Amino acid sequence: MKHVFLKRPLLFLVLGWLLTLNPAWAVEIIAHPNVAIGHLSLNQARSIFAMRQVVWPDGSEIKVFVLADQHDLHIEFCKKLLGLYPYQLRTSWENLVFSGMGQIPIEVASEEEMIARVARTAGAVGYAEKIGGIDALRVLAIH
Amino acid sequence: MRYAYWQFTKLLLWSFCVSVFSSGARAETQWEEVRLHGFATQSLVYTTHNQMAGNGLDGRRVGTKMRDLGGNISWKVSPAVLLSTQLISRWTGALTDGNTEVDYAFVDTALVNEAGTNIGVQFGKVKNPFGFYNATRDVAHTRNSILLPQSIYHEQLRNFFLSAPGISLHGSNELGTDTLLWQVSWLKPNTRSSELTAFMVDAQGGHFVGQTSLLARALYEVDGGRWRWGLSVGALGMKFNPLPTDFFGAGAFSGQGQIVLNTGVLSVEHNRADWSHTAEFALTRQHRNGFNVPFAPTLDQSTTIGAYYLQSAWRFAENWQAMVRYDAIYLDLQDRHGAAFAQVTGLPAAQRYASDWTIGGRFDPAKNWSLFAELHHVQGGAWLAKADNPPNRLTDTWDMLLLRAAVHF
Repeated sequence: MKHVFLKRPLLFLVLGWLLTLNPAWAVEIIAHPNVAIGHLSLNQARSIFAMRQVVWPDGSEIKVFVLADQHDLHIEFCKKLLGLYPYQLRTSWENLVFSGMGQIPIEVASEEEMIARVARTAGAVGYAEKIGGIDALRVLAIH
Repeated sequence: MRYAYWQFTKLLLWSFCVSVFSSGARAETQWEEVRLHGFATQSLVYTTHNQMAGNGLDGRRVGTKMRDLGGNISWKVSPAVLLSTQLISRWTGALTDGNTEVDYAFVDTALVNEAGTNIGVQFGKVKNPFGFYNATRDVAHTRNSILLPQSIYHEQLRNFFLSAPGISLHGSNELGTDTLLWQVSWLKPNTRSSELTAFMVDAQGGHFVGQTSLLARALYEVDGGRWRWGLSVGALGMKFNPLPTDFFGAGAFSGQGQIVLNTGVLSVEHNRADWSHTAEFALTRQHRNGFNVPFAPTLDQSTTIGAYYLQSAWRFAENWQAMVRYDAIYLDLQDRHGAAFAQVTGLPAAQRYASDWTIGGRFDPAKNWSLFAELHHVQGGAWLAKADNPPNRLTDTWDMLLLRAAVHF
């Protein structure tokens, strides 16, 4: 008897493809719904999370939320979305804070807190992966 | 000494209040616009020869007088306006004894905030951008070694370069996946330091007065900082006011010497997952004139100071780092090992150069704690504090072991 994979190769290819695309499994940048843009360039995203860009294009303040440096989701976010290592962001923040040039992101304890804080803080931006079905968030793609 | 303890106690109390307040401030309130941070370090120093951190005083072999306390507050008044100030108290051998100083205090206003371009201006006592480390040189956890490479960040010129009253224009430009960061400062350098006087004119009576100066730095970060290139340039002036009655024992002296430092640093860093390689090269042309002391012609002798270091840091396990560095400075590139200087002045040649091999390690046992250890093998003493090391006691070849605990919030 032929194996089921061989009988229906296309079906399994499509299923596998859908699994890899499932947004529930990928870290994404999230923002408060009042943020009036739909996507960011890679350098815009880096500049926002490095705290260099501190206002949105409409002039409102950006509030950046992050998880601890060693949180798995923070590491994945830095590497996969920003193309940076967490220590590089940390260095940028320390340089800002101890030369008086700026402030660092607000650190939250868990992904759940991140989602909750971003959803209720005007101008907020953060990241999460378990965001399926949450209407109170805007997802910002990186182009 | 009693004064130092009072300062220390005051700062401890102050840090305590700040930390209590900041834990409250972390709650979700309007106080997120106000941020407080602080740091404290204590080091132990052992040297085979020469003195650091007061270790040769009173026959003690291990020096403990190397500690820092600091705290800062910043208030984001509006998206475009930031107020920042930092206080620092330092103990460094015979140089400083815990006096609390305002490190910086300024208002920063955003002039341009557009996608990809940010420009701002600062007024007040501003931090001087110079090389990779000058702006955060007193903050232990922002680097991977206890001592910064002393060739470029040496203690004698710390106050002169650290921060100063002035105006600073700064900005960032996003260029594709690269970023240009720049800062230009007009300032009056801080010359209220006996160590600066000793470094510039040895044991003369008098003091320097800072003149309007310019410092600028550009950093170009490739692909989010995988490569970082930097160029810092400065033209810094100071004028010497000698004591009227004594100058080299020459009696009345009317000449006012002037020194202008034209300085430049080329910086480069390569960052990988586990490794960071850093190098900086500095050239400083010292223009000296007007001292006119007949038997000390070197005071009016312009020289070119050359300095560089190469450093590799390896993050070999979570929370652990190791580093190795070679660091060298020559106070006169025409007389690298000070032979001509020694002949003319009778002072030791070793105070004109230094080369330093360093190996070290850092362990962060908790989020806010760092422990450091490092070993130095040094030839020369150009960056040793003269207040700790009078010329007749300077030894050419020496080793040093340093341990440090640092905490920050």
